[in-house]
Amino acid sequence: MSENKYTLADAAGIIYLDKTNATFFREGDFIGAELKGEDGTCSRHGRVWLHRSFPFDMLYEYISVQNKDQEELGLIKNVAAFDEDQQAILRDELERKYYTPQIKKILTLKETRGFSFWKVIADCGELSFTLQDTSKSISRIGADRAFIFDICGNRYEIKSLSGLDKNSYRKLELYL
Amino acid sequence: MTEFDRIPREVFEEAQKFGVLEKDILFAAHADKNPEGVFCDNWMLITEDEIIMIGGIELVTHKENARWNDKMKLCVKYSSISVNRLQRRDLSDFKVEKQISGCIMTAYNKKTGSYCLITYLSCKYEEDLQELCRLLNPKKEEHNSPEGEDATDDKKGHRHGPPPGMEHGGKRKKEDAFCPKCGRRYPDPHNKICPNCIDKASVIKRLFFFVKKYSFSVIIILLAMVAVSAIGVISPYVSSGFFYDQVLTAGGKFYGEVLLVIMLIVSLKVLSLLVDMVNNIITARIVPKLVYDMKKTIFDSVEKLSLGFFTNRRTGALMNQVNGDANTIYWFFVEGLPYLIVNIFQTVAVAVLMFFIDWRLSLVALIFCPLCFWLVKLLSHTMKKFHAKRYAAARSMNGQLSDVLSGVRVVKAFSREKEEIERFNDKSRHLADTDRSMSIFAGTAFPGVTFLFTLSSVLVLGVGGWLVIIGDMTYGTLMTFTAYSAMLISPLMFFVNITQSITNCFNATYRLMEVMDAEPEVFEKDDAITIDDFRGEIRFEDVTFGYDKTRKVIEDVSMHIPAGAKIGIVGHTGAGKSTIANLLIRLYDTDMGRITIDGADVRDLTFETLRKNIAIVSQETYLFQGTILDNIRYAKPSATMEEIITASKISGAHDFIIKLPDGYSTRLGWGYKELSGGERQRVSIARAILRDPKILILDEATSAMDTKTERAIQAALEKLTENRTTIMIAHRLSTLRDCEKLFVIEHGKVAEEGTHLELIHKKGIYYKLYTLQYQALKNAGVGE
Repeated sequence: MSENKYTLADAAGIIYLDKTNATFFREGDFIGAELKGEDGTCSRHGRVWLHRSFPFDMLYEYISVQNKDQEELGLIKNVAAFDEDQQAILRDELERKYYTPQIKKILTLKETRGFSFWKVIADCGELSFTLQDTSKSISRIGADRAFIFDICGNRYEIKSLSGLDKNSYRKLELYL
Repeated sequence: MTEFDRIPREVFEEAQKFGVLEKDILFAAHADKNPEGVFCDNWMLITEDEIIMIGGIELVTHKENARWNDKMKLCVKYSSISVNRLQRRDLSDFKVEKQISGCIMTAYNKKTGSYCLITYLSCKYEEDLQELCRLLNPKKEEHNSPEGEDATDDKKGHRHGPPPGMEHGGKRKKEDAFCPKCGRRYPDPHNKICPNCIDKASVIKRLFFFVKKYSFSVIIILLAMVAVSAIGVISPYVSSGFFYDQVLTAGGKFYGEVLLVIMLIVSLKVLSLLVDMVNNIITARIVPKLVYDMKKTIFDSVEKLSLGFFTNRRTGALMNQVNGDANTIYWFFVEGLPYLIVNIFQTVAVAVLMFFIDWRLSLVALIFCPLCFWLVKLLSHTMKKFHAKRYAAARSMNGQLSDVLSGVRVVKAFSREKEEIERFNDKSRHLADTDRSMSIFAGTAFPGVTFLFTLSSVLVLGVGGWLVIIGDMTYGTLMTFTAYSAMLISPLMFFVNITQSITNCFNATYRLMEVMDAEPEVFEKDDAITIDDFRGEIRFEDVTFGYDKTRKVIEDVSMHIPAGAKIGIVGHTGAGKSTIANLLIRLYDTDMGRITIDGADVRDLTFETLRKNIAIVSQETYLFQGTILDNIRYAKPSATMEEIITASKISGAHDFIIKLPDGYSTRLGWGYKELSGGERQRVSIARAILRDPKILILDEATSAMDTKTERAIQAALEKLTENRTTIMIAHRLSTLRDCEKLFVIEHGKVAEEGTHLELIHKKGIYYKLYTLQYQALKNAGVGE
């Protein structure tokens, strides 16, 4: 009967990190971690990398913590399970890495010869970028959200398509 | 100084304020965000000891002492907003790391023992800063040596030169990344075309370059078109004005001679028909030739390009368009251009004639034209939006349909039929909604415009009728006039719609030019050499390579493979094993380091030497449409049947081929016989063997076969591999046990090397992999 208790989770062998077995700290401009293994041994990592498992929906849940060789050290189920100072460290690092300019207004959108040239106002100021194959470079997440990928590989977000002003939406509409 | 971007004078002036002279700057690079992540122009000036970062913005200000007649009263000034200075000796391990949007440049701070963020940047500058990092990071051997951290003067020259590989093997020089006209970066540095500055005239010139060959026919076509239009313009006069005023009216010059007019009208129609027919025949003869020329030119250029061109996502999409583009140009020549010429000629002639007949009526007739033109343009734009929406809805529905139909097993297995029906209904409903709104719009808006035209004709009739009554105009003239004004409607509609067609044709030509002008990254040198006595000794010397510049697939790989040796390359999936093979046969060129065969750099060898002496059987076996025989003979068209059967026998293909009803003549490809994965692999091994190469690369060539078949083929290959350099890349380690030497690749580096036994005793990565596979086989009851 005991064999039946061997669950999928056991098979996966995921190490979940919480305040009992993980401490994060700022190290230089980045973050490091001190992890406690099941056997009580401690390991210190000068720099760790955080990856969101569900970057569009769950911003602070299921965060993978990886070392410099891109090996997963553990998974944070929910950042909120940490103490406040720890939460701040984790949130800052995630926000820095996942920062994507938010487009507020489309000033001009000109298409010529398969390229489209955009001038927009984003949360970080006025930006200009170029897309090729405009329709394919815009991907919609759900009904009201869209990501735009420019020719260099930068990413921009429109949080709410319906929230855009009429003029901006009209420029964009053709490609949605 | 190595400049990665054009540095404004003001930056040097700003730097001078901190005592940094221009002559001391070794490299200067540009990033578009500063260390705080703010978008600005961040200039990085690197001297012997320091990294100075000047973040600033360009200010548009009034020119000082500008005179009233100065054309440019404004000027752009660079103003710094932040300055950061870092000591080079404190930093090491410079890197550009990719973030979700944009990148960061980081370095290890030896003083604090932690990593620090040098600056933020967008992906646009990623490649530049990667190169800068390469220049800033001391070479490996220096890094490990005690003096590595404080490089001495004699090593500086080595550090500061252009990065290796940047100008070798055909890589572009830095200044080539910018459009010389507007200074903007090319969207694709490999295709030096700036979509902003592309000269329209040059595109048209290129298009007419294809036509040049047929200039005589083209002139005849043009003359024929002008003739047809001219007849078109004369016809209404004969059948209306002339007929009423000169034939039907008493006192007319030809009063009562109805037959004459009828004959005249018929002759004009017949003449027009004949000219039109001649025109159509000539057009039908030259246009397909023109499109053939175009497609041939494109295909010739495409075949010359290196593999990198095809793996590039952007150009991959471009390729799919090429065929469609040739058709767009074809339609423009057949449907667009002739009618454009006819319509322009006709409109101008009709308008002139109308003013000649009566200027007052002409003004009345033309009064609605600008309004109608504008309305039609507006409506067409809205229709375009509807079409785009409809296209997207239809594509989404069809995609879903084909998805579900091809995955019907999975749908049934998870009993998701209900959900799939619901999903399909949603898409279908969306398409129906779009269709409905489009039809309603088209059905109401366009008749509205037509009504406006009718209104203008009614107005002409009214004013004209009044002029006839007061005796200012004859009845015949009025009839001619109304006939002419009706002739303006269709060209007007045509002009609105042709603008889109011209744009499409122009874009298509532009894309074709892009393919035609693309230069292969991997090319044969003019003074390339051949090796007569090819032995097959291979050396990889510090080879680094990545398919895109941001990710290195293999790094600092060095290995020596003696001539005639049989070696194996092992590693995890994605470790870079196949890349090594691709570099050896020069499908790509190394970013750094070099590969030599018999002492000669592969970049110095002719393609013929490489292709003749190296054969590769890769994971992806590609068989062309045709018979099995054609496919095997592809490697050596002159091979005899005996040679082909021998090669097939060695590869184990003969045994299955002979069992097929049509044997070697079995047709493969769409609609014909489909071979299994293992069978395909055997055919492609036969193809490689037939080449009788000095170097044979088997890249997972037996992965789709069962162990028994694999063993049998290996035994046969054993004899073949004598005196032949053989490189075997495999996942299944049992395949490689007999190799003289094994290279274990891990994260793009050679992690271990030695014979099977040596590596087992070493108890490293190979040992782990081997025991894992052995254990798995044992558990499955297959134990070797």
